[in-house]
Amino acid sequence: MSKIEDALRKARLGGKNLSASPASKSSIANNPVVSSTGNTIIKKSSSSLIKLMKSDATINDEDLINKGIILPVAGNSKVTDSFRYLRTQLLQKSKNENFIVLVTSCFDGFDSAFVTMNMAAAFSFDDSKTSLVIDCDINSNKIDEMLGIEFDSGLMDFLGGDVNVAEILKDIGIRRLRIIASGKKEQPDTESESFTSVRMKVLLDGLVERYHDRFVILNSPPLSEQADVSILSDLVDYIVLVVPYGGVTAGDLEDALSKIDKSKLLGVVFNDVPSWS
Amino acid sequence: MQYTIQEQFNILMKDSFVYRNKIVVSFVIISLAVLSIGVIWPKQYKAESLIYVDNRNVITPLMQGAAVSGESQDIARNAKEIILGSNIINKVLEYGGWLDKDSTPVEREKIIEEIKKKTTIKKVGDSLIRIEFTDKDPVRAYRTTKNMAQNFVDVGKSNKIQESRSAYDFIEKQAAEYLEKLTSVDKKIKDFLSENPDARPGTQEKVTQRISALKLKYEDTTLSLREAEIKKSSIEKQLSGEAAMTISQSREGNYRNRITEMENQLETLLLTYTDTYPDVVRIKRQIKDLKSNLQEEIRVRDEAIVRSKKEGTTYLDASIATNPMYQELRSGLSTTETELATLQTRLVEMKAMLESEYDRMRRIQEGDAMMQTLTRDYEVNQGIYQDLLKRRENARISRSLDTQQKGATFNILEPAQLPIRPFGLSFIHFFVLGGVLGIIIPIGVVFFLSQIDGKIRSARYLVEELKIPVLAEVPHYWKENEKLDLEKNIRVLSFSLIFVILIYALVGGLKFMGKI
Repeated sequence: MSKIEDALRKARLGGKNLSASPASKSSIANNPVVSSTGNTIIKKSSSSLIKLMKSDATINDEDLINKGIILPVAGNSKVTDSFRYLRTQLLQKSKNENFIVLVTSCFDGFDSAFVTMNMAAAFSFDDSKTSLVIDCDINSNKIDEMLGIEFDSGLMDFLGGDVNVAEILKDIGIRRLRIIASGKKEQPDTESESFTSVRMKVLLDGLVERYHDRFVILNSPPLSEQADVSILSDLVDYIVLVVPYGGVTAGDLEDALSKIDKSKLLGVVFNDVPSWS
Repeated sequence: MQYTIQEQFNILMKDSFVYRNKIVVSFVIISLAVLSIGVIWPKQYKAESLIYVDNRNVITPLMQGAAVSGESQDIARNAKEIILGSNIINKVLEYGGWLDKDSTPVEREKIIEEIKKKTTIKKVGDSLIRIEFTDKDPVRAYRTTKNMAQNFVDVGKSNKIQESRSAYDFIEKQAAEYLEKLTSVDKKIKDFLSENPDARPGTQEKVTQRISALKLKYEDTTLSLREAEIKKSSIEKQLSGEAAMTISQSREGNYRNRITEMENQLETLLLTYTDTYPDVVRIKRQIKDLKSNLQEEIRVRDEAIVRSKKEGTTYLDASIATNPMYQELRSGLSTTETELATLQTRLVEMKAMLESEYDRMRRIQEGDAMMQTLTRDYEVNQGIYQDLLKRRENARISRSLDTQQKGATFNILEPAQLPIRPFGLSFIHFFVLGGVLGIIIPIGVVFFLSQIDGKIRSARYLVEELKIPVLAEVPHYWKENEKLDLEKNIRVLSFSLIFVILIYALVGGLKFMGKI
């Protein structure tokens, strides 16, 4: 896989920009999205935006491995390959269109953050694609812990109207990967309501519509927190369920599946299968 | 959970890897524990002896068909009772080298309990028992077994002699009893016969014959009586008035005939002669006389009839009374009457005789029933007595057979041998078992838990059984520091395994050389 990607990258560098044309056809993308704070997200072609992003990797490979994030080459190649395969599967299902996918798990403690982050990383391996992680799991800070970063602002701040989009889009040093952290947790009772707000809808639409090579991956709370998940699942195109090896019974799984929209469920990621290499 | 065998194996490998620390720790503990048990496990020696036991009861074949005896008992249990009974076990204690000089009774009891526990007595054939004794000292095992077998056989033989003796005595006593019964019945029969002469056999036939003869005679007499009665009544009828009248009427007829005759003569004479002719005159007077006689006759008879009607007596006239016929009838009548009286008397007598014969018959029948009972008793007792006499002779023979110990009743077929090789679990068993159990138990537990917790461990299961598409199967992600930890961990586990193997080699070597 990595060889194909390298070849593609070389081809693109040598020639013209191949991915520019489908994005520029989008009519909605021509209308500026206005946030409640009044800031406009500047309309630009997706390829140029990718270039505008701070795309230099500021984090070294060893750090990434220790944070549990896959690399396009070497180390933990089995895990890398499995995420590449997952990416291919998702692209096949979406017919190469970009999409918003919700990653959730049956119970709290199952590592949907790991799958979310690495799925995003797998998309970002490809030069022509960017990925965006939105951490919607307000009650925990798994992603913050995983990355070892304390974010100053995030999704809740934006939904609260305190900041604009540009401020919450964070670069963590991985090429073509951005993250919106969960943000402040001052009103834990109102978080579900926050997801139903217009700003959330507008944010997601804007993020997808504007950049046609951007894949948005939502890290969802576990299905045991039903309210959040069902609201979020209305906002996304697809749902992916993380099932850890030896973690759930068939009954647990059926319970979990009954809580989500089956038509959006792409399938499960069978995670953390014991391996000694 | 329907996993394929391949999957089961993969799952077992994966889970074993996950629980590697627990598995290795369990392996170390189990294998070393079993090895330690093997080191301290005492050697056991077993001595055994095979004994032929005649389990037939002496009295049973002797009384075959004459009496029913209880089921023969379980010989192994009987043997156990005898061998572990205080008699034999005390001898075994002395001879087998179990006792110290200063053993207290409590210690003695403990030793006896121990011996009982170590002894197995089982039935191996129809009449074979095997005594097995296990002990850590081979010599003691040998001596104890040998002693038990010898003592058991001795006791068995003496019991057998005792038994056949008492069997003879029993039959003898029974025979005497029956003889006494026989004599008493015999005496009863004699007494009865002397008291009841009619009870002799054959009397009944005689009485029956006599009764039938008497009945015949009785009927004859009855018949004769009837005849005599009829005869008497007919004679009486002849002698009655009617008969007299008939005679009288015939005399009157005579007169009339003679008158008619005379008148005929007269008419003939008158044809020739006149009335004065003397013959005519004589005939006329004769006729006149005859007529007057006739008149007289009629008158006398009428008078007699009237008188007889008036007085009720038989009309008799002189002519009748003197009539020889009448005389004869009268004498006939008196003879018949005498005969009748005789016959009646005889009938009464016969009836009485018949009654007495009937009485006698009844007595005979009662006597017969009694006699039959007595005879039957006598015959039965006689049969049993004769049978017992025969059996007594048999018992006498088997008694002398047992006394001279010629019958094969108790025999040691296989004497106890000094055991050379230890018996049961030996060190090598524990040596192998420790390794095998150390591996099987923890891995078995892991396998068992993975089978019963119902958690999903296979992507194929998700797809095929639950029909949920699996997008990807992600292996565990090893971070750099985790990888280092894993390596360290594997090293520690490997050292543990090598340590156990070294211990095994060391202990095994020492044991082989006989140092432990």
